[in-house]
Amino acid sequence: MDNSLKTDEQLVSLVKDGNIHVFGDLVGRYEKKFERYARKFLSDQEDIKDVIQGIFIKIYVNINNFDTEKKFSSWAYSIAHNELVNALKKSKKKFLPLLDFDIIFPYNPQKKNNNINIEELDAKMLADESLKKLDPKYRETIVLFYIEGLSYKEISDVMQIPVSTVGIRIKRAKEIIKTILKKEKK
Amino acid sequence: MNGENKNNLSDILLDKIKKGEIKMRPKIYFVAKLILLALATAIITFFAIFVASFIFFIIRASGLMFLPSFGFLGIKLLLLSLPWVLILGLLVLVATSEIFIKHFPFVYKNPILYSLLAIVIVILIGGLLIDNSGFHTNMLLKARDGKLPVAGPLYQKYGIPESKQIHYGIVSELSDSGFKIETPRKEEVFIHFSEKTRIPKEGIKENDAVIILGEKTNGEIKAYEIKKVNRDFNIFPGKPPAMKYKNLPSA
Repeated sequence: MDNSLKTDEQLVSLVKDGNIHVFGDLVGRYEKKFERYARKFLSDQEDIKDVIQGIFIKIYVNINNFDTEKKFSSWAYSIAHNELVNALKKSKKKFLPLLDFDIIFPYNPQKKNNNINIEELDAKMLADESLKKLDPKYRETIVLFYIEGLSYKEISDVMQIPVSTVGIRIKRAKEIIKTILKKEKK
Repeated sequence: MNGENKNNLSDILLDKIKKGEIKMRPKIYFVAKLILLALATAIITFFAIFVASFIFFIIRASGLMFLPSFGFLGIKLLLLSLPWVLILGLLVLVATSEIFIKHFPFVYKNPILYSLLAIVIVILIGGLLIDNSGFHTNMLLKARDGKLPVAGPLYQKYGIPESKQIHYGIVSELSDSGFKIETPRKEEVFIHFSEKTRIPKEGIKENDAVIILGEKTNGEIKAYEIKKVNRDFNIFPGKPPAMKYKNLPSA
């Protein structure tokens, strides 16, 4: 059966109905994406493999909790996010703090003046070297938005933070990268 | 990861699924989890409301609420006399409630400040409503009669809270060096005042309800300042007028 034309959500419905082999198609669609995502936070290849396997196991185990009316990618990335957080906690590396002022207070980033030349920055900021210098909370937002192509709302669902916080983190990440790039030029 | 690895991962996972090493959780598991989470959040919030109402009860019944009217010294004494253990417990409950409620999308999609404010407002309003319903008065009376097995010790421990610095009662007898008051505990206490004692301009007469700021030693109070309060001040809401002030349970 050719499942390539089916949506993620249709594949999930088939898996839920007992078509276990269809889960393999979902793995095929997301494995590379999750690997790219994990690579921004982990460097050890074995760790990355373990995390990716863990993500898909969690997805399968909890698949009945997914509402097929919603977008599968957001739900899958939220599981990936949690797995990465756990993996980094285990390796005792700093990741996302428990309490962050960005999520305490309301923000409206659109109202704030942002003088950064975004187009010029976008290509440069995706370079691994610049990303590595970013705090993980900013790095993850940038990765999800620019590399994985998720919307603000989807990132909000994945990271379980307000949409306004997603905006403020992207804005701050750009400012930090701009500062980094300026320093590098000098 | 190359194409071979990709197939490998897919095969490994499907193999594990077929062998039953990885099992899909049934829908009922997630429904039950959601219900338990909602229940836990509700229980913690209700407990926080109860603790808040008990703090309000202590502050009112011990007369601590009158302390700010005595100025800076009164505020200082109020801060020293507040039931800090209970207040700390309440803060822990508020934080726990926030942690639980944060699992719901309608909460985490908004800034924490909003949900925290909502929780605090619900707890404060709920606490005030319970306190004003006379619930704690009834509990206290039941505890005194030994009819409250579980929460009884809590009420017996606190009873009618007595502050060392703030006292109140009805003036029952006047003399040159002071006056006697009948306290809510049905005790007769003599109030000494000196030239330094600040008393109401209109003076004090029998049957006045008064609040006294002063140190209690050997059953007598050395007053620093005395203020009159409304005779109908409701110490124990929910009780008939006679219970409001005079016929209170003895300590």
